[in-house]
Amino acid sequence: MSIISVNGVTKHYALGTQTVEALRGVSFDIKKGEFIAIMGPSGSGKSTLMNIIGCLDIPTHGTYLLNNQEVSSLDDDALAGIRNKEIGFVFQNFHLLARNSALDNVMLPLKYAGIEKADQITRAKAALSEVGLEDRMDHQPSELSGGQQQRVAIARALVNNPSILFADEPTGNLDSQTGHDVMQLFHNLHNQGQTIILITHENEVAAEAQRTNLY
Amino acid sequence: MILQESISTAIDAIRANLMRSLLTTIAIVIGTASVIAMVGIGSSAQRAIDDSITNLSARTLSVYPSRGRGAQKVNATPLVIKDADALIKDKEIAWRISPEIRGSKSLKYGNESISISVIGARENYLDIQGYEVVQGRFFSERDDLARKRVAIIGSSVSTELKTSSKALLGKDIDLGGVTFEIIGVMKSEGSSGWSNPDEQIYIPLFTASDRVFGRQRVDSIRVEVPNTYSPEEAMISIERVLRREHDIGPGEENNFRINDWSQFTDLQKQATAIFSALIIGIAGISLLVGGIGVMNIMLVSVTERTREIGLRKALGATHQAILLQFIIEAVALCIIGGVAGVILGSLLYFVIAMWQDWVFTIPFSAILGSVTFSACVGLFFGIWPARKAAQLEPAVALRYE
Repeated sequence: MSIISVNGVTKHYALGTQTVEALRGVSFDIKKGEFIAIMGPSGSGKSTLMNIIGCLDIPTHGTYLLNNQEVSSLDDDALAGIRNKEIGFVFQNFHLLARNSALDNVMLPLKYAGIEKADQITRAKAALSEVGLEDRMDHQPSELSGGQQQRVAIARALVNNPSILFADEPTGNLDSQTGHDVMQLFHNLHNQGQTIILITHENEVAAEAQRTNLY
Repeated sequence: MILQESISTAIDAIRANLMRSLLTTIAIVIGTASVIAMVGIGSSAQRAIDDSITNLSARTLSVYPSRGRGAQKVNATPLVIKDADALIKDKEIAWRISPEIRGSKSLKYGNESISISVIGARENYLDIQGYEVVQGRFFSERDDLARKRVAIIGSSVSTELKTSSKALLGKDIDLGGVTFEIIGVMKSEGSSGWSNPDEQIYIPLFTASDRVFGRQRVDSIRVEVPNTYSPEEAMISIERVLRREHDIGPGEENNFRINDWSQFTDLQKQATAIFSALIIGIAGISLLVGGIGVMNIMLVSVTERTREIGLRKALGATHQAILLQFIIEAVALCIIGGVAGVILGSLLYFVIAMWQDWVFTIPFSAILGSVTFSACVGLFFGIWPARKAAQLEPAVALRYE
């Protein structure tokens, strides 16, 4: 069964008086539990596609079914709800809140989900343990290495049990050994049944996935 | 849950840019501080004035002849010494009566000649006015009844005559063609506004009436009422006596005026109120400027934290959650400024109250009002930056450099 079904999606941007066509009729399906890489050089529309699949943006034309729910017609607040519950983001530059502890960073999606404070703490601690950072919970991002920061970000992405883990160049800012560790973490998650979408321009990284969509 | 989160996020953000936040709130601090200080000082000063009127001095009323209108002026009934005597004889209120004859005469001593304001009064004048004699003595009731030609000079008269007060004491002078002996010199009192007691010469009432001015008419009668009576009670008694003396029938108008000094304090109250209104107006402008400062810094903050806003949206923050976060930050900034202003203003008020020996009372309503107003300023000026933050496109904000 498909968790994501993209059908004839186009995206147009108005750039001054011109209209730029960033996506031109993209269609594909992703099944539950798949580990898929989306590849392409910069400027290929990869980021636009990621924004749409990640519900950060909506397509100009076409349909996007996420868990059999049509997403492209939803309003901003409904999209915020879907990002909160269905999608976990991992970014190239981690995007952690600098003045908050690892624990507080991981708790953030739960706060927006309106979960009880005690539950927030329990679940955030569990997520941090899962990525092997149970002894770094009170550290601020500046006190953590790049690999540790990315693991905090992964814990944050997983804490609300999303349908999809969405990773945008997750190893781009890491050295090869740390990058390898992060990829190993993704494999473990995949083996536990997590659907993962990986966006990258590196062949080696893409090769780790089960299947690659090229742009 | 979201509210609590927004508050703690706002406090974090303010703490992260502490110096900038404090500088931003200075105008708010100044505005609130001036409101608190002014309201406090104003109320304490008012209370001090009221206390001095009700407790320290007995009430003084002054009776004047009516100002005749147009042709009636000629027929206006004067106040005469007999009116004052009638008031003195009336024992209903234990008041003290001080009639005065005033006029200008030339004073000659040696080769010097000056024009001087002459006060003819009873022996109780000195006490009622609260004046003092530093050299020699004031005239007595016997001097008055005997129409003695004795005079007491104000402290600066000797200077005008180009001699010392000591040299003048016991000397004869010529006052409007009548020879007087100087028997006393007054202490310097300073100008009281419309007259300067230091530049006047004081002689007994009957001497003034019979020998200098040749008239029974007095210019005013001052009535000092003990503070066990209200000015209103005293006014009724004065009216009763004078209407009888002047043969005024029922229904006819008084042909004299009674001035209550409370009119003077009313004027002062009015002046204080205008002054306070002015200061509060300035404080309002200061708060307005402060609000614009807060708006400006919030706009900077939104731009600086574009990526953070993008991230929060990616993690599921709704439009409302972001809006709330930034409005609360602006309101918190203004409340911090307001509270700092309250402390500063109260301190200023306390110091001034101590220095002036005034009663210090915490101006609760002013504190509540100014902090609430500060919060409203934050709310008003925080909405626009917060809307800007909430309307950011998550995809664009995330990649903002």
